[in-house]
Formats: sequence, structure tokens, C-alpha cells
Amino acid sequence: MRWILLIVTGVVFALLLTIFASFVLAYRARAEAARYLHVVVPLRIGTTFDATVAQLRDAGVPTTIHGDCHHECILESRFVNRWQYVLHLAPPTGLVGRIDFGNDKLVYKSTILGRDFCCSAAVTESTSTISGTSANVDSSGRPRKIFVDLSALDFTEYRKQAYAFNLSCIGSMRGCEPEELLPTLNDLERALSK
Amino acid sequence: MYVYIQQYNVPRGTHLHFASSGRYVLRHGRQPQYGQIRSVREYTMERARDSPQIATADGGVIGSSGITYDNQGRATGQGALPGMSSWQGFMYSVTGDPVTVRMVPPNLFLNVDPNLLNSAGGNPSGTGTTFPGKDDPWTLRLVPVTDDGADKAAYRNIDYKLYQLDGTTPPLETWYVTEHQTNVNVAPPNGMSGGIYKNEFKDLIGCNDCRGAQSYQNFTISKTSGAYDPISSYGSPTCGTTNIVVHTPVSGDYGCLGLWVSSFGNRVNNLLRWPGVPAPPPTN
Repeated sequence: MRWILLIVTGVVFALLLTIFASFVLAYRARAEAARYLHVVVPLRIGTTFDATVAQLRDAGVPTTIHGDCHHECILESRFVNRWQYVLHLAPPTGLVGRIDFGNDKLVYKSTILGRDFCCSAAVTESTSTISGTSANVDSSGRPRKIFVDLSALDFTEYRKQAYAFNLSCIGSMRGCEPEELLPTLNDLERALSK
Repeated sequence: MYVYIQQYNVPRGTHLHFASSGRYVLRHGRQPQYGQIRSVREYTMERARDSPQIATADGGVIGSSGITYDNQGRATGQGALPGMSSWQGFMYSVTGDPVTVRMVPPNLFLNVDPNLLNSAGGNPSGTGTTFPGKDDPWTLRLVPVTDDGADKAAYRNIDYKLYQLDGTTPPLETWYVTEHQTNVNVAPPNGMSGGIYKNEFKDLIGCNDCRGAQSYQNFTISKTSGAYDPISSYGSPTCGTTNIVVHTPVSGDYGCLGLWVSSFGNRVNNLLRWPGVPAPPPTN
């Protein structure tokens, strides 16, 4: 009887510890995502690979490199509440950052905050010289996928608002609604309509 | 009856007649091959190799090319004859799923005589509807112009733009595109996702830490923004023969796309990136 009690207590303790750890890891992912944004938002198209990697390393941001960066490669970072959703405590939500390099120079940036299949907010910087916002909407007219095309030359307030992702969605137990992923969407649209 | 004629395969000199009674006949030379002509609008087919071969139970006919026509003279599709031109102007592939794999038509088939279309004033459904606007929606093509798809990348951005039949000229009017997915998880809550960009659809494919989900995707277009509206939209909300065609520069034309959505690389028709479609280039 005592052994059974000991085992049950041990299992419950381990479970609680795992749940606690999942929250700690989710908050860590959130903090890393914030550090990633801090580095990436001001990064300019044309920045060298070495300079970019050095900044990310200094900020303690984990990254994965796909390809040969002196020719063409992708640098990707994911900040996801993995253990929370493995334990069914929260829907999978994460920030995925991607930086493309060609001939050693930064050529494309994509940053997406998304929740499972439900919804996402994406900011990309590439071809456009004019910043713009759009969305794909569901049948009720709610935005499901939000797109912000940010001009690489745009370093105004618009850039700040474009990257104002709601990082508290990472680790949120109820999961964010589409419009909560990028709360500044309305401001962005208003700025364009002026 | 006015009928939209796009790409039929009939021999030079063959005449296609439409009778007010709804009957029609294909005639080569002077001898009618099928049916009886009463009141007629006549169009001469300039190229091809079709002639009626088999009468169908519903009063239609199957041409020698394999294209089937109903009793109203509408091309209704094609039998299992790969490599032949189909109703909407694309080719069925010799291999693969006939729905998901359709090949680009030769340029020859894309050279539709605009005068003929204008005089026909109709649409492929054969209802005789005159398009209220300037564009014939059925000739519009959705063309991927940028694609950042890559192996192991969690998300993929494909920017589709709507063009006229040549794949390069913008439409004369403003259209909005809606995507339709068979897997509603990919486009919750009901599989539809409407774009609000003019003559453009931004497609973001991916999810957070999912190991793969399959879906079929097709597109419809409408003059109003937002999601699909069955009254004002052109195209079927399901994969079929009346979808707005996706025209890719290298891979071909498709009415329906097969998607594999995964956080470890997203595939469209098993391709991580559309061949011949550039990644978004940097601003100089």
C-alpha cells in the first residue's frame, strides 16, 4: 500500500513538474522571440551573413541554417510552446522567423506569428517599395491570415507597428484569436488610408 | 442560342451549328454528320481534328478527339483520353490524378480569336449569359509571381496574381480571389479563405508544429471582396471542371492543387517551390 502511494505521489509530482516546465519553456520561447524581434526588426536588406549571425548569437537566439550561406541559404528560428501543446495545455502557437541570404547578403525577411492551422500574421520584407497590409478572410469576414508587406526602405513608425506581434500569444492557454496576433492591424490600415 | 467557343478540335472547314431548338450538329464539308439544323448560328472552326463519333444517351455526342458535347452543344468535358485539349483550355496529363495534374496547353490552343468570343457573347456553361463587364472571367488565370517555398521552412508565401489568358496581361476589371480547401483545418472554419487584394491572392501555407496535413485547393473569383459568394462568384467551390485555372510558367495549368502542409516544408503538387517562379527578390 505504501509503495502504491509512493508511486502515485511520484507520478503526480512528475506530472506537475512537467506541466510547470512546459510553462517555463513557453515563457522562455516568448522571451527568445522578443530578443529575435529586437535584432531582426532593424536589420536592413543587404546586411552581411556574418554580421547578422553575430547579432543573433549575441542576443542568444537559437537559429537553424539551411543551405550554404555564401551562395544561398535560409536562417530560420522557431519559438513555439511545444511542451504545452504536447501536454494539451495550449494550442501550438509560435513565432517563426526566416532570413534569406544570397551571395552572403540578406535578401528577404519573413516573420510569422501563427497559431496551429487557425490563423497567422506575417510580415515580409522584399520587393515592395511601398508598405501595405492585406488579409485573407473567412466566410464571416474575419481575418485569418494577415499580411504586411513592409518596404525595406520604410523605417518609420509603420515598421514598429508592423512588427508589434502579440508575443503573449505564445504560452497562452486559451490561444489567441486571429485579430489578437497583431493588435496593431487597424492602426496599420489607418496609416495606409491617410 | 449563344455559345462560348474556346478550344474545340475540329478539322479545318468543319462547321459547328447551333439550332434554336437546342439541337446542334457538327458538319464536315456539306454533309451533316449528326442531328438536324433548323435555325442556325454558324461558326467555322479553323483548326483541328474533331468530328462526331458517338452519340450519347442524353442526346449529346462524343467527338473523335474524345471531347464530349451535350445536347445543347456545350463541351462537357473529355473522356479518358490523355493528352487531349479539354474544355477549359488545359491539357489532361498522361499520368497522375486527372484532377490535380493538368498540363499547360500549347500556345496554339491559347490563341483564341477574341472576335469570335465577342460575337459569341456567352460563357462555357452555355447559358448564353453575356458578361456584364469587360473581362471574360473564365479566361482569367491565377499566376504565381513569387514563391518563397523551401525545404524545411515552416511557412511558405506564394503570391498569386490574376492575369488574362496570356498569363501576363492584367485583367481589365477588379477581381477578388477566394481559395477553397478540402481540409477545413487548413483554412478554418469552413475551408474558404477570401482575399481582399485586387486581382491578387496571397497564399500563406504552413502551421505551427504540424507534421503534415493533406488538402486540395482550388480557387474562385468574384467582383466583390471577401469569401466566396455562390451568386456572384465564378468557378466551383470544389475541385472540378469549372475552377479558375492556376497557370504556372513551367509546371503547367491546374484547376486543383494538392497541398501537403507541414512545419517542415510545405508542398504544392509535391513541389516545394513552383519551378520558374522567383523568390521575392530584394529591394535595391
